[in-house]
Parts: sequence; structure tokens; C-alpha cells
Amino acid sequence: MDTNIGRRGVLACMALGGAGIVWTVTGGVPRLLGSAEAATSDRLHFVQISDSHIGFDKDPNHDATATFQAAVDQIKAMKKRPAFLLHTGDITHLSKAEQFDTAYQVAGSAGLPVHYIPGEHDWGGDDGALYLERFGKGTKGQGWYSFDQEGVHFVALINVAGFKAGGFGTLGTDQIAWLKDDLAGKSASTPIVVMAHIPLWTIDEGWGWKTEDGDQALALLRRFGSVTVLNGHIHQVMQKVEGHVAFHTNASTAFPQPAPGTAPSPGPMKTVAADKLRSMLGITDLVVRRGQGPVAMTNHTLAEV
Amino acid sequence: MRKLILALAILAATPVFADEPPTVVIDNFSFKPNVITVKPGTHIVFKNQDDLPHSVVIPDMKVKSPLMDTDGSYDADFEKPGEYKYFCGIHPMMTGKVIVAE
Repeated sequence: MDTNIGRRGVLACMALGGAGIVWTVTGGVPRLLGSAEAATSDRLHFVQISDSHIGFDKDPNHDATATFQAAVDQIKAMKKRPAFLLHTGDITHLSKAEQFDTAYQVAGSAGLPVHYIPGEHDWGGDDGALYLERFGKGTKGQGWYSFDQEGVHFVALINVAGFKAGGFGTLGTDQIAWLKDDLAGKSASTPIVVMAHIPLWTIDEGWGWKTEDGDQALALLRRFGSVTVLNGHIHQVMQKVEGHVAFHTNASTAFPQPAPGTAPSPGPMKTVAADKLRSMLGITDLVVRRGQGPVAMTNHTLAEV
Repeated sequence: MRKLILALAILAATPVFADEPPTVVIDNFSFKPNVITVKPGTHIVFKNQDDLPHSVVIPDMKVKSPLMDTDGSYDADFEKPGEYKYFCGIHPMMTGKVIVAE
């Protein structure tokens, strides 16, 4: 296992598989919140979904559309309606038009705006052509964009384009230059939420779970008081905090992948029993609170109905 | 002795195709064999036996395969002598090499 999770400066690292855990950081110290505390002074509420892999039909999940629909139904049933959804990539399994169409319809059944970024499965078949045809309108460069809501600045990065032999996730100099410009006018007290498919932090080099120029993006974000980095790709929840930056990877809605070092390759966990599958799939509920506070995250598995 | 007979029986039952093209199998996020040497004009089959899609990108030949799902394959012709490094277009840490030599 090759990981830098434990490197100097990391204040906390947690892999949370449990349900309904509300997690936040105050003054650099991670703590769990009671549900009553989490419910007060909310500024913005949104949900992260990831790795729906529409078209995947092998063990341990022969119907990735059904589990994606279950995730969306869970969001529809939330007592407090989120403002929007963020999909952090691998929308489809094979970048096929019908897979994009199905994903769009299922996600759209939530009746909420959905902000997408691509994963390598959405990009690698045709260099992003079908993805950009659907989701590229109004974006910059190869599809990156930002937007503001309730005073929170959201940045959607693409790190699945421009792969090179032996390399990792990559942002590229053009996108990093754009990010610098995009953040230039923002006050340090603006809460920032960054989404990118492959983790911007190094989780496992051997499995390619890293963005080679992620540090350059993080350097631009370091001056902000509250930064939340939302990733997908690894099909399991991992979280850590470095200074004011909270990192979170989301569960998939299609299939779980093994923890680093526990399997010969990062392929699907094929032997998960049918009645256990949904407890290993999930969504993340995020609440930005008023003031210079951190973002509260709650991981829900699809087994919670 | 029983093992030897069994082995001979399997050999006898296995058809031999003299013209069958060399195959690079993709499994467990790797290309096997990782380095393969062939003569100019050889047709190579890349066959995905992994549980997730992969692809083959050969920059020096300007080749980019589509995503191959499990059991999918992609054929490439290696005409000119040289060393051709390639990688998976969606998992770039997966690399391999084809050496084309007389």
C-alpha cells in the first residue's frame, strides 16, 4: 500500500462506512455533531452523488440504473429538500449515448438542478465528445466551470482528460491558470467547494488514485478559510482534513471497490452478497452553515430507507 | 503418471492455430505479457478479461481504441520496426510495450 494519508500536516483521516454520521471540523479538530446541532443555522443544503456507472451489469450489481434510481429516490424523500445535486463523475460505464440519456433521466427525476463533472468512463471512449455535447454548455476549456450559490463558491474541475502513459489524474496548466483567475477576486472568507472526479489528494499511487498536479490547485485554495474537496472514483468514503481543507470521497451508487492494499486490483468487489450491496453504496448530504464554519457532511447508504 | 496422461490428453485436445495472432490479455489492471516482441506486419489482439472497461492508446501510431468492456477486444497492426509504448486510456498507470523487430 502506497499512501500518504498519514503524512505530516494531516490532522485527521477517517474512513467512514457507517450510516448517518455527521462530521465536521472546527478549529482543525474533527468532531461528530448531534443531529440537532447539525440542523441549526443552515445556509445551503446540497447532495453529492457519484459513480453511477450506468451500463454496469456485472457482479455485484446487475442493475446499476436501479441502484442509481434508489439513490435519487432517497434524495426525493429527504425531509429537507436540497438546493441541487452534484454528480462527481463516472456517470456512465462506457461513455455511450444511451447511458448518458438514462443517467440524465434518472438524476432529473429528483426535480432538482444537477451539476455534473466527468469521470474517465465518461471521457475515455471519445475524448469527452458525448459528455461535452450534453453537459459542456457554458463551460470553459475542456469543460470546467464555477458558480456561486448563497455566497458559496463552487468549482468544477476536470482531471480525467489528457492522460499520459504512466501518469495519473491531471488538471493541466490551462485549467490551473483558469482556477487562479477564478479564485483571484474571492475573499478568503468565501466558503469554497471543489469537485473533481479523481481524488486531488494521493490515496494510492499503485492504483492511480491521485492527481499529479493536484497540489498546484490546492496551493491556490489554501488561503481560504473553508474549503471542501469532493471527489469520487474510488467507490468508498474516505475523509481527511489538512488545515482548512476537508477532503471527501463519495461512495458509488453502482458497486463498491476495495480499500487500498486489500485486493490485487481496484476492480469491483464481486463477492458482496446481494443483501449487503446497498449498505456499501451511498450518497452524501452536505450542509454549509452560516458564518466561517465548515461544511457538515452526512453519509447515507442506500440501505437506509 | 496419471498427471502425464492427463496433460497429453489436454495437449491432444487443444487445437493449434498456426495463424492465430498474438494476444495481449488485460486482467487485474495490467497488460500480459507486458512486453511482447513480434515481426513487422504482425496483427496483435488486445483482449480485455478484466471486470472493468479498459482501452489501448498507442501514441506513436496515433491509435486510440474505444473502451473495451469485459470480453471485448481490439486489434492493431504493427507494420514498422520500432518500440511502441502503449497505455490504457482510462487507467494511464497501466502501460505495456510492443517491440517490432525482424
